Amino acid sequence: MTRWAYRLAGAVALAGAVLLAGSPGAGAAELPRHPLGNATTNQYVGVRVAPDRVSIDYVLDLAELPAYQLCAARFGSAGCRPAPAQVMPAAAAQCAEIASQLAVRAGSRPLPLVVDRSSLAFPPGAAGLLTARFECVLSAPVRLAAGAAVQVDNRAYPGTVGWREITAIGDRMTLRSSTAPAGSSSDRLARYPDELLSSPPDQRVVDLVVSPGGPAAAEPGGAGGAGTPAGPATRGVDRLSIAYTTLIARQDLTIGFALLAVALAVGLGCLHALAPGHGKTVMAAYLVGARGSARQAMSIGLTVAATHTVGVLVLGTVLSASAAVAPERVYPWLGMASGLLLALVGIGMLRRAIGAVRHARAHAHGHAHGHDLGHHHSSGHAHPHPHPHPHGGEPAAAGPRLRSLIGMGVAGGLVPSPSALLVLLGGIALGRPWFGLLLVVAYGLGMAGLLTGIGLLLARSRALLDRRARTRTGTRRWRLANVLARALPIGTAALVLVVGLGVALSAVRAVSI
Amino acid sequence: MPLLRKPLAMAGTALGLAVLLLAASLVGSRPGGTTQGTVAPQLAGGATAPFALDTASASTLAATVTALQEHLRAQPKDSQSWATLGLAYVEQARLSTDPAFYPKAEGALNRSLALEPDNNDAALLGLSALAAGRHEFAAAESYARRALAVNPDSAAGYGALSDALTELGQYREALTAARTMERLRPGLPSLARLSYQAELRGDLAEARRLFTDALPQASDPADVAFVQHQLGDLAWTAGSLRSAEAHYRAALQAEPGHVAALFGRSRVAYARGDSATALELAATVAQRRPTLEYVVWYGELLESAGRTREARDQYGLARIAVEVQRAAGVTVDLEVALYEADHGDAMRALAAAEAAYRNRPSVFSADAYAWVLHVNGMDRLALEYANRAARLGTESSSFAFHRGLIERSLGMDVAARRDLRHALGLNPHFSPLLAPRAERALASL
Repeated sequence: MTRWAYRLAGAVALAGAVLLAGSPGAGAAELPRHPLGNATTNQYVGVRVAPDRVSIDYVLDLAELPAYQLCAARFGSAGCRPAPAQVMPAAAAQCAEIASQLAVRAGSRPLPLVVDRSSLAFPPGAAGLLTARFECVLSAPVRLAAGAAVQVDNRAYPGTVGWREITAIGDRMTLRSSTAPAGSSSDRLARYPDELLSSPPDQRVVDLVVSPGGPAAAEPGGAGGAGTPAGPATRGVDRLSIAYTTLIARQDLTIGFALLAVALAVGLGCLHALAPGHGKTVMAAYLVGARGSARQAMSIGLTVAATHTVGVLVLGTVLSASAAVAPERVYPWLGMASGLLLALVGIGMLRRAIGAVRHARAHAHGHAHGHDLGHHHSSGHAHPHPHPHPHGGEPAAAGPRLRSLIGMGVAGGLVPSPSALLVLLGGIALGRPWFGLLLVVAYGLGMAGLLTGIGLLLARSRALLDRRARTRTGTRRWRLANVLARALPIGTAALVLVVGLGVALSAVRAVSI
Repeated sequence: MPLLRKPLAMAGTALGLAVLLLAASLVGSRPGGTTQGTVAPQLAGGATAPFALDTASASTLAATVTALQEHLRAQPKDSQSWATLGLAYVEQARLSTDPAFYPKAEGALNRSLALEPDNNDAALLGLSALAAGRHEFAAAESYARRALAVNPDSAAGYGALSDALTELGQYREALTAARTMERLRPGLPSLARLSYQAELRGDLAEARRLFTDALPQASDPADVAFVQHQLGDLAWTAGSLRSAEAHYRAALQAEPGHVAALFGRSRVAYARGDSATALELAATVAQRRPTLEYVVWYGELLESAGRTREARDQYGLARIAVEVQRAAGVTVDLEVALYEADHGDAMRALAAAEAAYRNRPSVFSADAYAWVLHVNGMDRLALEYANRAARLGTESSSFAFHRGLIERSLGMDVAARRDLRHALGLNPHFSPLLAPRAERALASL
């Protein structure tokens, strides 16, 4: 009878809480989030072992009282209703703290975790109070040999009461043995099961023995999405590449399959070249502005591909030789170098373009039929069609042209594509490094082919623009095009400079973090 | 209706550790001294489980639970195993202060009774333990009596009865039940109950002796920690700081992270003037178990150190803990009454104290009611309840302090001086805020 009185009182209080909280969407069933009690600190540790890293999908679900404690400490009088600008830093700080309390070991070697992503939300709790939910994506780069032992020891919040769950899965790795289940019984602390014949888990340590190879794991996190581990090496890796790596990991290597794999690598390289980045914008701007030729387009494409392949090989070799080198440390530096290189090229182009405009003015209408703009420099040997006004020829101009081209190609290829890196590392992990190498080269060729194709297309369209401008100089419409064509080199040079500086700056930020 | 768990959760945690009960189960509640910081008893629980579980010591409890769960998956009709599992869940709730186990316990015990409605004293004892854990002491007594009707020679039944009667303020019968238990099956569970009865009667030496005698019987680390913690609290009540510290350290050695022992060490550090250590320990304790008692202790330490803003945060936490309890429809209790009287709303304190006294008219309820009446200016009635609180001769600095201030308000200067001197004589540092008040009041007389 008392039970019923409690139930009734509870229901009434709950209804009141819903009204007070002003959360009309929250059904009564949603509110009692912590069957373990309002003072519990609940943790979920989702371990995921991939060929290049151990990543952890960590969720911290604080019930009303610990949430209040944390909010008072982090946000002072604002409590669990902080200013939006306070939330992200708090999440980052909390996740960094957690990262230092999750002890990950490969064999006897401790692996320091870095925070890849962090988030913080305040789901409504009982009595109009708020709870707090942190989600942290943590990772440590490591290359694990067959039979390697991995241990994760959750030392966060010792001595507190609450749910302590660990799951473990392999991602293109196989867990030969595991002391934790693969799936979460609480759906990552979203629903706490309540059965008579089970106890809240209190798992703090998981021991794994892993071996390379195996299917790719589905992305964790579900609809919440925040729990997708994406370290720098895997960040930007499309599902296609992951599926591909899985494919080559699973198959026995026959000639036919090897050829298919190479063909697929070429295709992936093409697709990668289509993805944003890679200085493609820059290259396009350059070719259009500088009136590039087919040969120039090709040399840029080849430079990008060569630089990229070498970059992937070097980074891959370093990474597979030493786990001490973390890709996330290397990427920003490469990005910075790439950005500075681009900026240098941009400055050179700008100088030439401005010089050309002055030159053109000096010659007035004498060279008005188009080719006066920047012709100092654009009329180098590389120019395919004979120039009507060699204008001194200036053989020296070929130097800077080629330098710019190569500089741009190097800048475009300097930052290795994570997908290509994955392909190579996959090959190494499978014990077939030569095959990985072959695939990376194929990948690079695919990239080069597509970039060259785009370059050719751009060069052709520019040539078309020029021809029209030349043949119909007199009409008003084409005078506009002419003006446009004159201004283009300055604009594109400025664009190259700006993009280069932007790339370098964002890399500086990543380095300083 | 999962919300139900919150109340229980709060009920469980609020009293929580502070209050551990004796041996398995039972008595769930010891009014820890919210603000008084002292209140002797705080009997705790690691003593071995009496009932069907008595072979399962604390550290093997989890294994026992797992084994029973598996057994019941295969044999879901085994009523005795359901009863044992229910009792084990109650025990786990007590040891871990994790109230998630209460609903599970209720489900398992009801399943057992449904399978075997008659002659099922194990299930009835489990329900008694569960009711005590939820502070329904009248129900706890009734279940214990029904279990004894089925099995008149059940030592565990007398233990459960003793615990319930103690909370209901029926001390003579409680003592008799504890003695019967000792006669039927001597051991740590019965010694712990006898020690508590001695402590309630102000015989700290006897209480200490019983636990000291029990120490060799405690082999499980959790039991050792329990006994050492009890000895530490008894030493604290008597103001023996060095001895208290040694016992708390021994408890922590047996069971690292023992929260109640950490709390004890925080109080000792404060009494010794080492406020940095006291604050550090109190912060740890409040973070690990944000129960009303621990949070208010931390708040008072902060306040006495002049860190008022942080103290306000802790009182705010205490307030929401109370709100969550109230919103969930849980019976408000002694801690709430004392918290409201010292840091909250005097009228709400009155309502809480009345409810607590009705629910369990123990000396602790009487003391809380007396103090709350004084805060509300009803000193004549307050004195009546203070006398009831003193009826057993319980040695407690906060009892004496409360009574002394009530007497001062009534102009009974001689009695007031005697009680205030007694409070400070027992333990001059019984509370960061109240001990200085006691000194000022004494000086003004």
